[in-house]
Amino acid sequence: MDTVRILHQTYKELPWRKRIRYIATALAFVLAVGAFFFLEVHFSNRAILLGRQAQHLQAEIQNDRLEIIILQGQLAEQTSLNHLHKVAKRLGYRPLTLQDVHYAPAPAWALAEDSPKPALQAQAVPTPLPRKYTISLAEWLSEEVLYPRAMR
Amino acid sequence: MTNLAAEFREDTVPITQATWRYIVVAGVLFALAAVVVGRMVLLAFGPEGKLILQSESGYYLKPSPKPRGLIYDRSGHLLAGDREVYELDINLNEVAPTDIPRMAQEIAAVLSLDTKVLRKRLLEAKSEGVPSVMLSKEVAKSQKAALEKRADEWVYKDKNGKEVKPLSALNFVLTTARLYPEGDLASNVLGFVPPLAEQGYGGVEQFYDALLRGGVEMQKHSYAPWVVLPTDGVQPASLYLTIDRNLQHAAEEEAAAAVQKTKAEFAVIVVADPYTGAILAMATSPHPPLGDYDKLMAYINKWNAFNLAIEKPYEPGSVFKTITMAIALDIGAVKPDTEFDDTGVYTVSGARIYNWNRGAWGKQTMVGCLAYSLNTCLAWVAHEKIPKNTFYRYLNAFGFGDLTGIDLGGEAPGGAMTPTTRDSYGRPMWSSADQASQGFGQAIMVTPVQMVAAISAIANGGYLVTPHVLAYESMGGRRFAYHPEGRGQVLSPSTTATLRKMLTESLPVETKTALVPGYSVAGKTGTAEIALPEVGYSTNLTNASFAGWFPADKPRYVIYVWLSKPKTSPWASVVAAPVFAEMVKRTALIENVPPDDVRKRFEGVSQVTGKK
Repeated sequence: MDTVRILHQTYKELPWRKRIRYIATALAFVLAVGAFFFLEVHFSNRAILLGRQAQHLQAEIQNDRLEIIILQGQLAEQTSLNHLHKVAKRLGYRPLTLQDVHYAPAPAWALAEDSPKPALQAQAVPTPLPRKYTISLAEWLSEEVLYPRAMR
Repeated sequence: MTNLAAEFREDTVPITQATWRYIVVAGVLFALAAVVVGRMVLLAFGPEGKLILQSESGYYLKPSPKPRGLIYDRSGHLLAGDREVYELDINLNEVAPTDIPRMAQEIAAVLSLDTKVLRKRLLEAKSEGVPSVMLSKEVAKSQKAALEKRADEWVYKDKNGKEVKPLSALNFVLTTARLYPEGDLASNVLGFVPPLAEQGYGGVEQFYDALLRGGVEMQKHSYAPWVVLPTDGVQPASLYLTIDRNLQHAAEEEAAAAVQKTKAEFAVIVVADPYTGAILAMATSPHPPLGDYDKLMAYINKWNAFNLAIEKPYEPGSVFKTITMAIALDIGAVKPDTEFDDTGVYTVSGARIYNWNRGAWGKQTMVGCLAYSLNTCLAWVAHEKIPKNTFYRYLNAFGFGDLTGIDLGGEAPGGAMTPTTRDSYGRPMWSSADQASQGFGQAIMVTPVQMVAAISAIANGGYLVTPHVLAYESMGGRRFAYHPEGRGQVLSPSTTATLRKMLTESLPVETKTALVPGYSVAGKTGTAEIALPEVGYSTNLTNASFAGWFPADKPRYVIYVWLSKPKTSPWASVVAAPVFAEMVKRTALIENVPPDDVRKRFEGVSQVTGKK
């Protein structure tokens, strides 16, 4: 109790400037220590959070990588010759052999009359293109928009 | 002293009640601050802080699946991938002995195991105090789901009223196993990975095992949450092969059809690029079944090989005459018009060599010798026209008796009797009859892939390429092309040009069944009698081969066909040559090779100006 009284007495008798200096020093000390450890704990905390995040991301990357590989395999399976053969068979198609190959005329192409039977070396002569492929913009505007056939 | 104290006491300012409140509040605040700061100090440097600091260097291991590298064909179609499977073990410490019979029944029903065997195994392990038993290495995802469902359904309460789930003792660890989206396509090239192993065997899986290696990896994880240890390690590479899915499919179909048609023991078809040595298709029929491990082992035991195209040396017969002729032309010993008078028999060191039909063909040029496939003529060329040392130096340069260096596991070198061959007593075994026999493809063992390399040299101007199946590897987002070193110039370009012309001219005479309308082909048949122990050469059992290329004037594809022991006919011209012709047709269609007349019309035409 005496110590408290002595400190109180001393404090009361100090000039106010000194009082403020002592208070400021004490506060600054506490703040400095607090700030130091606050920073220490804050950065540790950030490091922990980010580290955990990185660890999770790393695990996620690995899982995704694995999943991609597995899905890639599944996709390849679905698009494989093997699978397509089964599907074709189920749908009633039969395997084509070279003897089965025959040539059908394609709609946009016609052969010259004196040309040999369709073969790779045969010269195919294209039919004239339909008008819709050769018409100019001005003609189209005139025929289809400004003076449509029904109106003319 | 006492007076001073008394004096001081008298001057003291009385502490009022308000002052006391300030002091108490300040004291409490200070104490709180001290506690907070003290806690911070302890966290940073106290025992907990030290523990965290220590944990920075501490780590634990966790199993992590590392998928095996993928294998694609040259167009990026997946040939070998990975599928999700689980390793399944059971923690017996968590299992009551009375639960084991039902447990065995439940597990066996899902995994298709023998219930009795499993029950016995689990009971024995439990009685011996074994803590954990591995049940399966490849549990499918659907099986895992079924077992987990059963685990949730089978619940009872023990004596203490505690809920017990016996199947919760099952432990699933995610891992991967090989998946073959194209089924057994190119299985002989791919190789296999046994269910309990991480190492690949046979084919690409064996040769590039270090690049492809996956499995379950024990990964390091730090105790410290802010320490992120690298977990990637070395990622497996993905391999892109030179194999073409469609060509391989065609070759496998043709090989299977040939076996069915000719009742041959097996068939091998190899399609390669003669300029690079890239193998575009390598088919065997039958081929190793990758889906069923037991059947695969039975296949390997039956054939004593995984890939018949590289592991089965055989006497090639007349296809080897092209090599003898190439050597003779290269040293200038013969010319296409050099004549040989065939009397039907050629005798060397007491051994009598006959033609395939035992006939005498009279005076023949070298083109005729190839066209009629005269053994006597090529024995004469090998024995009398080519010096002994030169002959073997050339065989050595062609790589016969040595590995071609193809990047597939298990390649066999083959071999031949040479002047340096000695028996176990050190006595020479070679005689000049061996050289004469080798001249027409007997007394020498070669593999199809060796013949492909040699024929490629004739087709490409004399350069011996290294056959290979890897186009490039892809690792970490980067691609590394694979260009194996060639094995040098073995023949001069002029020799090969002459020989190519000879073979183009001789083939229509030798066998028309190898010809394809619209396309010029060159090649040679080979019918080799098979040597049987203590019997000698059998006249019924033959190896029928065909080695050729197309287009004849500008070789783009070398095709090799080998049928072992065909039953319908022993002659290669009857059984092997049509297979070659079919492969030419299918290759031309798949690879968009125009017929010769179309190709020649556009040869030298600028793609920009359209002018010659």
